[in-house]
Amino acid sequence: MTVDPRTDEGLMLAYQAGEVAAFEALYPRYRNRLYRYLVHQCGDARLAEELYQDIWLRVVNARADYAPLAKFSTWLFRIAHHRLIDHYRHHARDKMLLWEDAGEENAIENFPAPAELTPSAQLERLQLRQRIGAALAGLPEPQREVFLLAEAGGMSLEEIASATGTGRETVKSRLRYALSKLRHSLKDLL
Amino acid sequence: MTEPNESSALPNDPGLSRLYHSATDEVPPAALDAAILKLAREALAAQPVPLPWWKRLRLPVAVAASMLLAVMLSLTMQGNPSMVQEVAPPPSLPAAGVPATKGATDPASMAKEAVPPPAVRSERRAKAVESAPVGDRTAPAPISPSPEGRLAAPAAKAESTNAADSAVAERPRTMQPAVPTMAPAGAGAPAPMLESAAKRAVPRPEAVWLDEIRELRRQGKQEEAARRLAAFRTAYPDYPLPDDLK
Repeated sequence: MTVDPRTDEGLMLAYQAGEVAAFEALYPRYRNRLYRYLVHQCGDARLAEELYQDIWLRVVNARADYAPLAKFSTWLFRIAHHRLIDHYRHHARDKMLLWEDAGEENAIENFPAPAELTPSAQLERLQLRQRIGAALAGLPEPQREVFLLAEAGGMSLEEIASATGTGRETVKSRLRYALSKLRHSLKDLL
Repeated sequence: MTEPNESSALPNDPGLSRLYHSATDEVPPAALDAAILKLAREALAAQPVPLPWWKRLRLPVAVAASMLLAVMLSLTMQGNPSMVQEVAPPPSLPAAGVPATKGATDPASMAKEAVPPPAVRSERRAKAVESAPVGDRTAPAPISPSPEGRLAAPAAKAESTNAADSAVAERPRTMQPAVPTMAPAGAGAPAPMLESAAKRAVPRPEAVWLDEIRELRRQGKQEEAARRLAAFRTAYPDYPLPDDLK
C-alpha cells in the first residue's frame, strides 16, 4: 500500500469534498498518537477507547466546517483536549473513582501488550508501564497533558499552546515541572 | 538531561523520552479502527458533502452586496444630482429682474431644473443660441425660464401659481418634464417648424409654462398667451388648468 503524499490538511480537505480514501489515509497517521495520549491522560483503556471513538466521530461530523487555518494535528488534539475537559466536567466523580480503583491488576489488563514477547518480558514491560503510568498519574493534569502532547502527540510548543488554548510560556513552565517530577519519580529507571 | 534555553524550543529530556517511548506501544483495537473507518464512510454516504457556511451563503451574500451597492449609488446620485446631470444655464427673461446668481447656488432649484440626458443634449444645442440677444419674444417656440425667473417673480404671482406649483410638487421629481429646446431668439424661423420642434421636444414643467402664459397676459400679449395655452393643452391635455387661465 503506497503512502499518500498529500499533507494532513490536504487529506482532510479531500475527505471534506467526499473522498473516503483520504480519510483512510489520514486516520493511520494519528491513530497511535491520539490513542496513547488518551490512554495515558485518562489512565483507563476502556475510557480511552470511548473517548477515542468519540473524538474521531467529532472529526467526521465537523468535516464540513474544517478549514486549514492551523495544522491538522493541532485541530485534532484541540478536539481531544475539549473532549477530555467535557468528560472531566461531567464525570469528575467517575474519573476520581477510576483513578482510585485503578489497581495493579486492572491497570495491567488494560494495557495491551504485543504477543511476540515472552511471559517474563511481558511482565517486565507491564511493570515498566505501570511505573510510568503511576508517575504520569501523579502529575497534575495540565502538566501531564502538556507532557503527553509533546511526547505522544509529537507536537511543538506553539501547537501545544494552540491546542490547549494556553500561552507558550505557560506550556513551557508546565512541561518543565512535568519533566522534573517524572525524573524524580523514575530516576531509578533513567 | 537537557533543557534548551531557546525560547521557541520545548524543554525536553531525551532519557525520559526514550523511557516513555520504550514502554508505550499501545494501539487502538482493530475493531475500533474498523468502526471508525466505517463511520467515516457512512457519514459521506448518508449525507452529501455539506458545504461550509461561507460557500453556502456565497450567492445570497453576493446578491445582497450588489443590491446594497445599487441602493447606495442611487441614493448618492439623488442626493447630489450635479454628479450626473447638467443644470441648464439661466436664460434671460424679460420678467426676470434679479441677478442670475441666486438660483445657481440653490441646490433645490438646481434639482428641480435637472433634466435627463436626452434633454441635456437639446439644452446644449440651446446654449449655442442663448448667447444671441433676446429679441422677438413672439416666437412660437416656448422659452424655458430659469429658476431665477421664478424666484424673482412677485409675491402676488407666487400666490396665484401656488395651486399649479403644488400640483407639480406632488409629482415625483423624476417625472417632471425636461426643459425643451429654446428657439433662437429673433431667428425668424417659420412658426409651423418651431411648433413641430416644440412638440418633438421633451415637455417642459407645467408650472413654468403656466407662469409664462400668465406673464404674457400681464404684458397684454393675449394672442401669444392664447397660442401658448393651446400648445400647453396639446402637451398636457389632462392637466387641470388653474382658474385664472381657464
